[in-house]
Amino acid sequence: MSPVGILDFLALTGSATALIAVLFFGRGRLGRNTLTAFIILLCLAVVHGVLGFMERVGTSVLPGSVKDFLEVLWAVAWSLVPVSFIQTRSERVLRESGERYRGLVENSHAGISVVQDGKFVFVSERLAEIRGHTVDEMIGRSPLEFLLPEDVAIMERNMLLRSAGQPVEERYTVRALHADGSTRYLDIIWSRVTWCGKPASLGNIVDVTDQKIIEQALKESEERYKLLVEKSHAGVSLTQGGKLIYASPRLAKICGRSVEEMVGRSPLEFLHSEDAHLMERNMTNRPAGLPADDRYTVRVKRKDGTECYLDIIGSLITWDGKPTSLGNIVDVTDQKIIEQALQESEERFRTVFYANPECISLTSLEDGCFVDINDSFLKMLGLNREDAIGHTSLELGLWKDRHSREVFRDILKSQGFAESFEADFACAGGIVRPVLISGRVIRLQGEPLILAIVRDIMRLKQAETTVRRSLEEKETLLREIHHRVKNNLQVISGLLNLQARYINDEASRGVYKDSQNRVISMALIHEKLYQARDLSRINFGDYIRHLAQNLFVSYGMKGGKVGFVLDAEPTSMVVDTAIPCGLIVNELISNAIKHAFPGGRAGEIRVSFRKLNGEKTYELIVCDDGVGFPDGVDLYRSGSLGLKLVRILVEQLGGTLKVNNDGGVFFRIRFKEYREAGTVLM
Amino acid sequence: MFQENEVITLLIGTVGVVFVFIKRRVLAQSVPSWRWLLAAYFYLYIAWAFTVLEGLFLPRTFNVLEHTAYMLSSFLIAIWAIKALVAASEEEP
Repeated sequence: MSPVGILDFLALTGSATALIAVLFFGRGRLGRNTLTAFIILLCLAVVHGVLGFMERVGTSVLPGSVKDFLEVLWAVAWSLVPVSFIQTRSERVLRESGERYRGLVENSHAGISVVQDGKFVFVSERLAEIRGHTVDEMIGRSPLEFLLPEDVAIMERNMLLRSAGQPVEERYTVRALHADGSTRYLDIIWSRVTWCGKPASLGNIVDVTDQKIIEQALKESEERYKLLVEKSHAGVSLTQGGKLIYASPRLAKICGRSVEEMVGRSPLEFLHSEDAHLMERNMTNRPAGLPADDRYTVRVKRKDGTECYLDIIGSLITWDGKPTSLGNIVDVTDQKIIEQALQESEERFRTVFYANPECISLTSLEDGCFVDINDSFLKMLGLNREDAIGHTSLELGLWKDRHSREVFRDILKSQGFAESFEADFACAGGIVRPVLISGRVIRLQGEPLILAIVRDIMRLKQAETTVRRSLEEKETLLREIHHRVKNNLQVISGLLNLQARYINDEASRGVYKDSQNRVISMALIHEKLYQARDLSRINFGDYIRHLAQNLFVSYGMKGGKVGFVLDAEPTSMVVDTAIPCGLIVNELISNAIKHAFPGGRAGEIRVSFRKLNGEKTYELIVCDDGVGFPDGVDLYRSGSLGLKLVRILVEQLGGTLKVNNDGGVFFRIRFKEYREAGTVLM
Repeated sequence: MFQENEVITLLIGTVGVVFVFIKRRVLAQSVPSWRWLLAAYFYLYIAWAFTVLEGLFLPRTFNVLEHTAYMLSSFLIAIWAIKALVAASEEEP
């Protein structure tokens, strides 16, 4: 075999191998056209190889023209192979493209529809899901059927305009009725397309219900916040780059300006010049992260020239990506005025407390430590304020008698106050000073404190001693005077008695005796006075008893048939009333002794003395069961000296006299004490 | 002396070569192991060209070269067929 024959044989082997491989494994792996072209190509190659090999070995079976035709056919087959490859690829690309677009449509979050002649001609599964229907239910129906009646007009108008080729809103939101009855917000973007050779509308529909709900919630939230900011008692400001970018209406009102007048200007322009540096420092430091006051008060100049105080709470926020100062501002002008008034008031009370000449201290009720103490007290104690405050009076050795302190504290704890409590304080220079302490438990900031006012009464005590001594001297002197008056009256009585012994006429001697008894009745009063503790009053009941005894002795009736009964309360009486009253008693008892029981007649003289009408009126009753006055005697106009004296004295006392002459004589005199009666005697 | 069918074959092959040149990028993406097939095509075209040339001069030399090119083309297409089919079977799920 020639070398060419060997080459042809090898070529035949290769072609046959390729043909076998394609025939057995090409189906399903190569495209239909490619497979056919290859089979033809390889068959021709094998035939070509077989024919060539047979020709080399000298056994050619086909004419040369057929062999030539096969070679041309082989070339054609070879040329068609790339074409078949490209055709196969185009089919695959087209198929893959269709699959991709279908996948895009079916997997898109947006629902896609095609509307032609007012009806759905294509509806994606996603759109059907959004609407809650099936694709078949929607195809062939108008999109308007699925909308809420209120929104039908929007889409209908747009469809008409689009079909007429006029400018139309390509994107809008409508409300659609879901199959489950709920309302869904659909965002629709329309575009013009050609569908099956005819104009149609391609709709991309997105369910924005959740977004709408969130938007609505955000809008409501924004409105609420806006309402809060604008209706808040506090003004709100946003300052960015040193200028106000927002001022709430409340802030503008506080500052006496309009919002437009404030926005865009520096807040420093509205401040009092003395306070501008404070805000400027805070505005500079806060965005830079340097120390800044979170809360401060500044004065603002209003447009009308008045000033107001603003309390500002500042904080740093980010607004539109830039550091911004958020200010919450409250008008505290009234509060400031009150604070100033309080400060002035506090200053006044502080001055009153510290500069008070009285010694004043504030002490804790619980532990007894001084909380505050004024200058006068410190001066009296000889201490500094720092040495006294925080220590108890016991630690400072203030109380000479510790028991007094306990008593004073017990009174305060039980009564809440103590007045004019006397104690002795060890003061500066080791001097013990008598003091009067008045205290009251008060509460300051919830803590019980003792407010004590201490008065140094050393001079008062000294004066009191002097006065007491002087008074004692005067009392002694007055007693001596009463004693001497009584002695003098007794001397007069004795002189009358001596004089009476030289008178033989019984009647004249009786006159002397009467006068003597009258003098004795007055002397008895002075005797009672200097014996009494009170030099201005005497016990009148006791006086009547002694006077009656003297009279009975004087008229020799002692131990006789006439008895004496006294019913008198131990009532004290001023001397100015006692003297005329004593004379009245003297006259009436003397009359009874002398005239009521003639001829040794037995009987009884009764005297009653008491207070009436709540101890303002005295009642004196002198009566007897004697023979009484003779008939025809006018007791109120009797010329007898005794009765006349009685009437005069009763008139002087401003009293009333009642006389009864029935079964004895009855005298009742009612009068008021001299000072209350308003009359002046003697 | 060249034959008409050989020239027609060469012309058809030339058209095929021009087409392949124009669509070379598409074919490179579409045909697995395209380089082997392209080499086989190249040697086949060379063979057709040698066939025409042997009719003009050096008939024995070009004849040997022609058949050598046929042989190489046959082997290359066999190799391509095997590689392409193996690659396609590996891509199957």
